[in-house]
Amino acid sequence: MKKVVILSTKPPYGSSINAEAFRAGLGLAFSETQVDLILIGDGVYGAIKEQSPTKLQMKPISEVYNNITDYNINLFLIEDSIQERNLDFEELAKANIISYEELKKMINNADVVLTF
Amino acid sequence: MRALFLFSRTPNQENIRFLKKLIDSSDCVVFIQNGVYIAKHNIELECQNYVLEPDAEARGIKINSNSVDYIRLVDLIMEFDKVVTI
Repeated sequence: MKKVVILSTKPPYGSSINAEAFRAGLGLAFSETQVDLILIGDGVYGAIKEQSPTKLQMKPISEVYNNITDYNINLFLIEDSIQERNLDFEELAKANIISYEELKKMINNADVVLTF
Repeated sequence: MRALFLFSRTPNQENIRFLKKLIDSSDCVVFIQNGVYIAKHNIELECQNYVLEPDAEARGIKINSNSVDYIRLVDLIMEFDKVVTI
């Protein structure tokens, strides 16, 4: 089974890049691939639980991250990125919190790394 | 000349430093779009500043006091001599 690491680096609204990172992961997860989706930098804003972008006529990406295990995707958040943005762990979707050290190991062990 | 700054990018150290250099005490800053993440940081600005409430709500960012809605934002745009989007 191939291992793919996806780095999602952009905030959830203003562009569709954050959602596209998930969409790529979803496609891969259904084709016998281990998908590790990593929210890093501004990407961690996507993991805030209570988003309500209906006024922007968009669907909340948080619904995806809150139920990510249903899609066979492993979700990871970078600890430094959360702290730099003064976010609380309680307000974020349930995910594995990792350091840059661990990220480096994951990248080394991956067959492919995709950055969005 | 009083200017209204619309700050629409995800705040980071560099663009906040840039903003601080641009503003005077008579100016105003409204944080819109991804700029609303500013509410997570303790930034002191020398002029009045607001966060656009619908954009903050969309992103799950809670704001305590200085929020504006679209109607108030339009009033501000009309009130100032110049609008600068950064």
